[in-house]
Amino acid sequence: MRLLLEDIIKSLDGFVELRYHHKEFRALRVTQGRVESTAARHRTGVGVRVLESGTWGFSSTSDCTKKSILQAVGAARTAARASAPHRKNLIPDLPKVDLARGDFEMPGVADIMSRSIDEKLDLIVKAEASARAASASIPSATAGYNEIYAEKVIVTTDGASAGFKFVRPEFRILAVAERDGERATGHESVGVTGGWECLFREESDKLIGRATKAAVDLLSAKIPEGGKNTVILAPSIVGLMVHEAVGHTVEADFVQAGSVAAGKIGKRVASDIVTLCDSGASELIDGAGGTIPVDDEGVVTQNTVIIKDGILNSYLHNRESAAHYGVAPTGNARAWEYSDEPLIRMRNTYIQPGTQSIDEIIASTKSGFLLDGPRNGQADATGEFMFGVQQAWRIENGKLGELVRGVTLSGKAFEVLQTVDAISNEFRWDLGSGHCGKGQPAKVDAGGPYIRCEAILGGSQ
Amino acid sequence: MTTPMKKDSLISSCEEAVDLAISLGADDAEVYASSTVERNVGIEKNDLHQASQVSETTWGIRVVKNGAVGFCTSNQPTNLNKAVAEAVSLASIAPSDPHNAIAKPAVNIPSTVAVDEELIGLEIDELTVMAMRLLSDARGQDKRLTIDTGGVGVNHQTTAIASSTGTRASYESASGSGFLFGMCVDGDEVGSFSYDGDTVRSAATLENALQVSFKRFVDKCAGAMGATSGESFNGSVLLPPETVSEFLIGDLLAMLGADAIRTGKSPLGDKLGQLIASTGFSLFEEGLGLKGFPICPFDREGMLRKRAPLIENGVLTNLLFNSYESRASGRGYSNNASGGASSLPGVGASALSLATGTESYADMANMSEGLIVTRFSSSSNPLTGDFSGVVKGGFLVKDGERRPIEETTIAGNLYECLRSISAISNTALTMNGTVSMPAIKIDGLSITAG
Repeated sequence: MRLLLEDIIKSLDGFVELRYHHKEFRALRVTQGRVESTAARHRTGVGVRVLESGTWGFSSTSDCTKKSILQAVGAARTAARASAPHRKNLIPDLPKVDLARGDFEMPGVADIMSRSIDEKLDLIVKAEASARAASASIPSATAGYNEIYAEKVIVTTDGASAGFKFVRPEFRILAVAERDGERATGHESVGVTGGWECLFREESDKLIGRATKAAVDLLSAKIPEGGKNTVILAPSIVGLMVHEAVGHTVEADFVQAGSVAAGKIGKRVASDIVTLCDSGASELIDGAGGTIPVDDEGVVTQNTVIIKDGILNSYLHNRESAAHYGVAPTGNARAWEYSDEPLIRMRNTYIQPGTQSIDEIIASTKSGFLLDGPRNGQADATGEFMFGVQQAWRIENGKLGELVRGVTLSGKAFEVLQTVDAISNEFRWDLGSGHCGKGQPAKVDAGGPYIRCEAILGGSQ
Repeated sequence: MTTPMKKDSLISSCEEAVDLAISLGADDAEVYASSTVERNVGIEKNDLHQASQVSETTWGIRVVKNGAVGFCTSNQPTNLNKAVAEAVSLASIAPSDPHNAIAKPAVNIPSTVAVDEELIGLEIDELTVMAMRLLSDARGQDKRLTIDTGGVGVNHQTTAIASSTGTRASYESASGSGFLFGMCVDGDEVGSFSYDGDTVRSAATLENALQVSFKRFVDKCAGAMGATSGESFNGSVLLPPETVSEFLIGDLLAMLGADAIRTGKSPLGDKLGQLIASTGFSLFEEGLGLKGFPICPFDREGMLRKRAPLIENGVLTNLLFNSYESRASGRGYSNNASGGASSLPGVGASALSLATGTESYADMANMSEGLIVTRFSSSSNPLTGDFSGVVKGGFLVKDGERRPIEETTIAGNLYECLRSISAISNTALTMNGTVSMPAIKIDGLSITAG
């Protein structure tokens, strides 16, 4: 396909970007012993973007022939020319940057694609049964396995010509516990960019054990009092917070629209022990779910330091926003499928680990809560966030105490990050099984160490 | 002008794929397809961003073999045989379930059309002029307003379904839509963001409908400015129509699905015929569509949609079933198979209305003490009904005055909320043509200032 796109691009002038994307998605799900889903989805096509008359035009075709791709180029140009007279600020030509050329290797492709669908189905049939067998209090469970296999080629008139394949498998388990009219759920999931061993470096039995224990334990947990508290956030919560409440506010398109991060480069936004990064690679531990070698504009991805020692250091850029700010693009332009335009998206977002152990941090906490397992979350242009939390344990005089439920965590991200006074040396990617939404989905990952900070807990009625 | 596949061609392609599946060993097969052309003008950073035109046809093949289901979708007409083969292969490895089957339609569904030729004829330049006019109008209402993203577009679609059990139906529709997403910024103060938009079926109503929804958007963004800490109390919360769905209806609807009940994820299975809400609360599945917004007359399995009360005068009267859930539960069809060509049939409502009440919104807002919530972000456990969340946009009303608030949380229980509805407004707002909601007031909620 790269040869075909290179052949087509040779005949085109101006700025044209051709992006071939073939995606195969498979989803297997079992609930209460019933196979609820054995589904596959194949989607293939070429997305065409042009910068014409000072504005963007986009079109796409599912027919990957030279004739159809050239027709799509014509449609994108027509759209751009028709709308350009009404644009207030015309986009200048994109500055020259180093663009990717060649084929890039990604881990796990052959491994995942060579395993039979029977093996994958067998995994979740047994996992679901195992979850229900774990306790008489668990009448219902769901196990799921998803995988995305994709092939991408990006070719532009200004020099990009790159291709790569990747695979992203996911496993999840949900247990529903019930006793005396009370119900509670426990959930564990893992998603990676990589092979089977990477997905199950923690065995599925351990994930099932944690989910079922959480569901049963939460049956007897109480709802805590709300209010401002000292909290220790597990890597899963750290990941969600830095993705939703910080990462989105530093996406340069959102900054230009007026997010809370606008005008804050060089200013303190976190305590001086906080360094926050977003990388196209899987830093520190392999398998991060948002790993890409090249973005969808053909830019080789880099590790972008967003906050360095508490000071806001960089936004996340595509080629257009990088030109606007006079910096190099960071490789954050991503499109979900061939018919989607590339948007500024995060990849793998994390706080750098510190030096203390989690045990030391708990021991030095007089009063507070340890929070683990995000349920859902949302953040605002202001950096104000609200996340549901699966499990929280009370900490009193340096010791973990009772489990509580129904907890939400909220605050303003830059204010919360200013209160961080301890960061653990453990590190975990923990958002690889989720999707980020910004008009179109994206596979991302996020994580970090345990951190201690001040935030608002919601809970009591 | 690019158009989607003609209905007859689309249905023929579905029938060919059904025949292929049977020839590959499937006992029964169903193919659901949609063909779409979209033109869209995107707004970003307060300016035109990008104009686009995309078209695609997608086929979803579902087969049953020895009581097991396999499903595969493809957007490649020349490779449909590969997708059909994978669907049959997936069915071959899945375990059998006696309730798996392809639905059998009881009645023939007439081929209908909901297309305004003027709407599908709107070209990029016309959409651009409209989008820029609407953007200018919205920003002119408040100089602090900044738009992150938005858009105005037209969608033209044909849909078809065919099966080995006798289903053969098709539909053609067109819609125009638009949205804005952004916030107000004033110096160092950044307001909470907001979103609004609308969808209509005709060119004549498109710009006016978007103007109205964008006015709501501006009001919400402006209303979030100057927010200060709220107060802690137990009291009333007033939900304007656009907040009712996110606060109450979304989780409730999921719990009304027969799939949630079968899998133990809903507590409402044994509540049929029982009072679960205030007596003024009546929620309807509007399977025939709301006034002025026709919808596809058949569901994801080709079954004829219908109107049905879900909760009537507070009493739970119906659940939502697709054909599998109907067979598994032994109850009748409600023809609520949801989804499109890219997914297996799920369970869901096609359109919804909540019956209006008797009070004016102004009277409802005249509280001695209470909150008006215009945007709410929450975490909930639908199983128990417990929820807790942050008021992202809202006002504290006290002693006849109202002021915007921030960092205020509300905790409660969905099922208690349903029983604690003290007022429903006498007017309703229709959103995106498929959801009609009045305002409601709920008493006795726990409100905590941060």
